[in-house]
Amino acid sequence: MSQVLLSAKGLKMSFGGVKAVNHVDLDLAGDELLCIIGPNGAGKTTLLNLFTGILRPQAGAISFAGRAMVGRPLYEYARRGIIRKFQVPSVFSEMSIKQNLEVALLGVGAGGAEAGAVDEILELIGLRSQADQTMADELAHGQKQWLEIGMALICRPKVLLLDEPASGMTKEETRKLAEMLLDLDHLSTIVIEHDMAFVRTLNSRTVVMHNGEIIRDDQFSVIEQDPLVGDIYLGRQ
Amino acid sequence: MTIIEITDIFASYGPVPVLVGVDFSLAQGEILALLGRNGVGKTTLLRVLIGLIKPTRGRISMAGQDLTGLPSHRIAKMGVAYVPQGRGIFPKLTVFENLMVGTRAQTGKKRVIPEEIFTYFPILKDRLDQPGGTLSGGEQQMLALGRALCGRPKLLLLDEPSEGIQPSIVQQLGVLIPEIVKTEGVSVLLVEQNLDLALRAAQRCLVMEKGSIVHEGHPDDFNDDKVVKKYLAI
Amino acid sequence: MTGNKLRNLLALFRQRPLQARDKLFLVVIGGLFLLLAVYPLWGDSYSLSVMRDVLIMSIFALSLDFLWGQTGLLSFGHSAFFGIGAYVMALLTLKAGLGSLTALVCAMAASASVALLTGYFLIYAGVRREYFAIVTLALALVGQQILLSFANVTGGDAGLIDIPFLKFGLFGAEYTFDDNLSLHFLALVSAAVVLLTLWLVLRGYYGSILKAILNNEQRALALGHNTSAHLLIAFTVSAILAGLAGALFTSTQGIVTPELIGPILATEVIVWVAVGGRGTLVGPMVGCFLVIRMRQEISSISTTLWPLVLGVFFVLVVFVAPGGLATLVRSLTGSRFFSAGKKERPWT
Repeated sequence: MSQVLLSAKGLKMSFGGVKAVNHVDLDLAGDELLCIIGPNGAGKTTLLNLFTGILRPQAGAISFAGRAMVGRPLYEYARRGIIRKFQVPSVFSEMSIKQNLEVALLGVGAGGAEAGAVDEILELIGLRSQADQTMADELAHGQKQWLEIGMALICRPKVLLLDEPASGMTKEETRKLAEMLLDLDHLSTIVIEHDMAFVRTLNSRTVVMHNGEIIRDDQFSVIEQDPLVGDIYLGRQ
Repeated sequence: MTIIEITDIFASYGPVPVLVGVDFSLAQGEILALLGRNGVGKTTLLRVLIGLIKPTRGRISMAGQDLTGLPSHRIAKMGVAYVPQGRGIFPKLTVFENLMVGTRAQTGKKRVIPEEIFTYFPILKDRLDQPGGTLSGGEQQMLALGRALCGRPKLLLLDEPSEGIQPSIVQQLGVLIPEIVKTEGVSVLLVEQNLDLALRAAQRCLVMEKGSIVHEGHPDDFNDDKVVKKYLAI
Repeated sequence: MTGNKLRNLLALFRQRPLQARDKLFLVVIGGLFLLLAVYPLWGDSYSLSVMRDVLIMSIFALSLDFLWGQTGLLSFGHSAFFGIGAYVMALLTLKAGLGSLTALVCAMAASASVALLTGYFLIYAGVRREYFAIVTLALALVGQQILLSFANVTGGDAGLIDIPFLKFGLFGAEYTFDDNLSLHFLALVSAAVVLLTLWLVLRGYYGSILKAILNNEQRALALGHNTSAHLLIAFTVSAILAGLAGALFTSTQGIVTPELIGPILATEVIVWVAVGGRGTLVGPMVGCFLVIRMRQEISSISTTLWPLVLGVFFVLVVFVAPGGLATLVRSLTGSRFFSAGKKERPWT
């Protein structure tokens, strides 16, 4: 078991009386793939917002590779290797696909070296043929997802945080995405997803959130059979 | 009885063609699923139907009236309701206000939120005074659907209603949509990537590819992996 | 580690290969400037002085376009930096007797300092868009007020006259820019240099970063870009260029007045940029030329008529070509020269 890379202790975050994140402890090892599932409004995206510095926890601590992260400027998270894909695809709409990837590279200071990386990622996300001509805005929803995933991967993250990456993807694309995630080396991944076929393919450590708390933390195959999870989230299978 | 008929529709984004000859019709009380890979034009077709995009060629007629090229608010008043991808609810308006906005499509002087909405989506009644933006994704989807139904539409255009919604609620939708169709007599054109939901709810499926319809079939056809691979694989 | 940082910094200005539209741009601009270079052959003294003023003002227009067009930050009081440059130049050369080069550098430094100070507090606090515009408007108003208050130094309402011409020493010989011809070329070369420099800088990856920040600042931040720093740098560079324009203006005109720092000029420069085409660099220069010439023609008929005409003209442009004249030209000549290439269908 590799060392703990990302660690959250006692995280608390409320919005006007609603406890979005209510005392969450979570440890993520380097090289680990973790899925977070749970009902809408359970606090999953809020947790991710805390991990990336967009929100500042009202209590608790977050450390990455031993360093305390709370209070650091937003851009520093990415530079240290914590890269995120947003729930609603967030790309640079008036720039071409290629330019989007270039800006991503430049953010982590890799603009000088990695010219070939752009082509590699374009091939991986299947957008190579339109890379120069198509504005990111003109892409269909699922293609925007792939672009944003590509932008995240090109940064060579240490921790990859994906918020609903499979939404808007066809069954085949979802399968391709799962394979890609399982293939990734040398990085930790947290995936928030509602697509159970996708989560089942990953078959990794899975955490279930409900009302701001982590109620289960186990292999997916175990979680899937859990009656409580079925009640609050999975429904009848 | 045919509720809407689409003939030879062409549409573009500027110089880029997206729809290149779409023909189909929808019967009253029918749930039609529109399937296809990313970027084939499914969302564009819905946007043409609600008048957000003007087709460059072709005709849309509903119950004998020509809808082609009409502005969106006229189309809405004629009984077409659109639930866009990502819900499109107004985050700063309350649940009540969101629903009231939906009633604007009603014909007739007095605008009321139909009680049935709260039967289908009881959670909305609990949250009437809450701003739409504070609702969870699943609740927002209920609100978006409820708002669309407030206009008492004849045709409901649903763009990926399952997106970002937890499995148990997706299952509910799979039961709810046919129920609404049966009770209200509304027809539904459903764009969905979630095959389970699409095949469970729909009576007929259309597959789009590169801007036109390439296959029409019964949901059972798609239980065959080969068919799925042929039309929906990358 | 610093070697790596330096390499990354230089990578920002790495150029993409020249495309068709870039070559067209260079050809058109080259032709235009060539034409302007031979203008003294047929232009009379008055026309030359007008052209010179326009060229220097176009540097001012470029300074605003760089900021507003590339980052989206609208400085509603950009004349503050123009006026600071003008007054510092005037005072240092007239009253302190400093040499032209020193005074020029000080003028630009003065504009830069004010920009850094106010920009830091605004930008790092997250002030953007309308709020940024209103606060910067205050800069112009305050600047004008200060000038009027310290009338014994600044000449108050009337301003200062007899500002010395630019004098540069080169290889032992001293050269004074005081006749029509030399002033014309000074203005022409300055404008050309600023335009080309901005064009080169923005063509590189740095331009993409600024565009990205304009498009989706949160995404840029989440990818590791220190957006506040980039915006502050852009704001400061823009102020430096505005200060340069102001300093050049006063040393070629020989006078400096509070109008150069006030809100009217601040509004006019916005009109030049908007009319010409925000973000196109050349557009604002053309817009500057058009509007200044229009003002001269109208004002010679009646000075009170001008604000009315300006208003009507601006409204017309908003309706006919909201992106400015440059985008109008773009759509008239077709997308052949101005788009990135033949558009394909969006599916793979």
